[in-house]
Amino acid sequence: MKIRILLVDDEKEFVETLAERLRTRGFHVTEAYSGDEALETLKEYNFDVTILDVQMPGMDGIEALRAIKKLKPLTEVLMLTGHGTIETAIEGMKIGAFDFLLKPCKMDLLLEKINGAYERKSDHEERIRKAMVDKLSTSPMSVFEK
Amino acid sequence: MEHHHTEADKSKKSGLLSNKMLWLIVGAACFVIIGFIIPTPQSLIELVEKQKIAEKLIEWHVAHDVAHAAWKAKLVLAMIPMAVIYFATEALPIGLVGILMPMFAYFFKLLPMKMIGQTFAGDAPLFLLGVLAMGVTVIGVGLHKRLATWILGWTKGFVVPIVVLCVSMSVLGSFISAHAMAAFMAPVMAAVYMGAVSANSNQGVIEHDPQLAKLLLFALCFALNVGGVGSPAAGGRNVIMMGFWSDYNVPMSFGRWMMYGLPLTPVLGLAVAGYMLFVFRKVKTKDLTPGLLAIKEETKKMGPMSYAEKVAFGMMLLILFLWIVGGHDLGLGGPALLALVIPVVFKIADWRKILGGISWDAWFMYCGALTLGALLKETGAALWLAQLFLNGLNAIGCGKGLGLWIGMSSFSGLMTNFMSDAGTTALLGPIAVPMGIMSGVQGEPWAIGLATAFATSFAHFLIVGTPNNAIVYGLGVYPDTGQRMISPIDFVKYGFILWVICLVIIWVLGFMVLYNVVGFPEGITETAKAVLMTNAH
Repeated sequence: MKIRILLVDDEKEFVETLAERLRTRGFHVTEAYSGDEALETLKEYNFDVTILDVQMPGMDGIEALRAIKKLKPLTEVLMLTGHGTIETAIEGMKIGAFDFLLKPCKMDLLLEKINGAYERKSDHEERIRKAMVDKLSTSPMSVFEK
Repeated sequence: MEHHHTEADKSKKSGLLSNKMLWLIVGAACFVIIGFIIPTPQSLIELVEKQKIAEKLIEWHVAHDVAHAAWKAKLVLAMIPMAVIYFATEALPIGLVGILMPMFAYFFKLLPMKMIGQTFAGDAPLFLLGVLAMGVTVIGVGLHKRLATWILGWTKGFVVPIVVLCVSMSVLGSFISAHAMAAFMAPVMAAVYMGAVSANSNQGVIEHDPQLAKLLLFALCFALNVGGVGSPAAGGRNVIMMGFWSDYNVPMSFGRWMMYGLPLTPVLGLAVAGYMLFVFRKVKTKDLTPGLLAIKEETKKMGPMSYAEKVAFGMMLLILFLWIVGGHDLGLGGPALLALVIPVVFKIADWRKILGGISWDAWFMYCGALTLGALLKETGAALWLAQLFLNGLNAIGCGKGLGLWIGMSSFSGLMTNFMSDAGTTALLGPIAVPMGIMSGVQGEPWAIGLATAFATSFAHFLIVGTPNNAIVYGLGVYPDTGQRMISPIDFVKYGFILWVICLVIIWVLGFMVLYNVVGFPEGITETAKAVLMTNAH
């Protein structure tokens, strides 16, 4: 199954170019141009990895990260940062981001981080699935428990 | 896997069934009312006296006189509605309901002390222990995934993958834990679905085909359910029934069960495929080939067959071989215990991991069921219930042979949708077996036992009927939106007619054809009857 990526950055040209490059490598990419737009999209769809610019007008990267983690805790977030905002990216990792990348980033490194983030999400999902199956195997009625 | 829970889920969660304390009290109240308040039926008193059961219980020092012996039988009868309530509402874990049986037997002195523990240590409990241990190793090394991807990986198109899925899952479900298979295959089916619909969608926007999602998940789920008829290793319920036959000195061998059950599985699998393809004939996506790449990806990820998989596969074949040809000397427990030894000796599984992976909940439940069977048999409660039901069935002309098998399989099939399949067999088996014996038809009590056990594999129309249904429902989510692919009511909508179809198949192909073609050994009815009567005298 294709890895589903949400790419969030206010620089339209950067987003479009990167999205196209990722699509040609077999990823399923959705674009968003602000934190608010990203959250609206996330309300409707699940993504494996969100690539998030830390510096955006309006809702900044950290604020968006908190909201994303609250809305979809399993979605892994990669933070895109410039040299001047590394501290922000580190703060982001403390509150749940998978990793950060310096802009402009090399495609090989980006792919490595995306795959790493996807693997972590898959492992996490597998553990949840296993716990769920263990419970349902002994108590089918627990399927109705939240 | 971030799920959006529907309002239906929430309302059910806060519903009456989730109030476990209430049902705990209701179950206990039923036991107290039947056991201590309602007077003992005169017919029960007469039966324990006439059949000399009272004499036996007095000799065993578990009853003082006839009335006391009949009361003991009534106490055992009172345990049935309590167990039904606890199984159906899950007010207590199933293993704990099993533990209640010997516990009550000890506290109310329903059997001599040395007889109570025996049901926890016979061939059937050891067989089940081995079956559960084999499941832990086979699943642990991922052999079930390998087998599934081997079988499905080569398919293309639309109809062929569905037919292969249904037939292979029903046959595999006869030998490998259907729950584990459902847990592995449900996300694979979701991936097959996504691959198939993505190929038909424009870039970025996936146009969903909910009918296809339902087709794939229900085909998987129902095919795994029907696999339960194929062999005794399919589930504890079959082991329980074999335990009941052994109690009447007419044990059935593993191979013999397969002669009656295994030919039914591909037919039932085909019926599932045919019905699903008919019901969902209007799916928009008619080519699964792009989605089936997901299975090829899984196979690629696995790499070549590992040492652990090879040993597990060899172990499975060896145990199956010994079950089939080992005969009565080895029993079923003997070969089954190899499933505990081989993985540790060949270092493919850790001993503690095997111990941790065994479903002790299931094991305690099965052993408890055998205790209940012994209690019903020894106190005369089973005989009394069997007579009661037989009188009723005779009145409508279904008191023996085909009519009885159809009646019992319908009741068992209905009951299993509301509670655990093992619970259904545990409660109906001890009554069905003496009913069959008393009907006097050649082939009893095997024929009625098989009829009862086969139908417990058809828990198609309620989500709580079997863990397979709950697992497929729980894991069946659209990967992109997290919405559920099926709703609880879909089980009724698509499962009910299939339930009828499956019953008709076992009536026609099982009872009318296979029972006659395979036949039954001479004298089993007489042997079982002698035990029933000796037991009574």
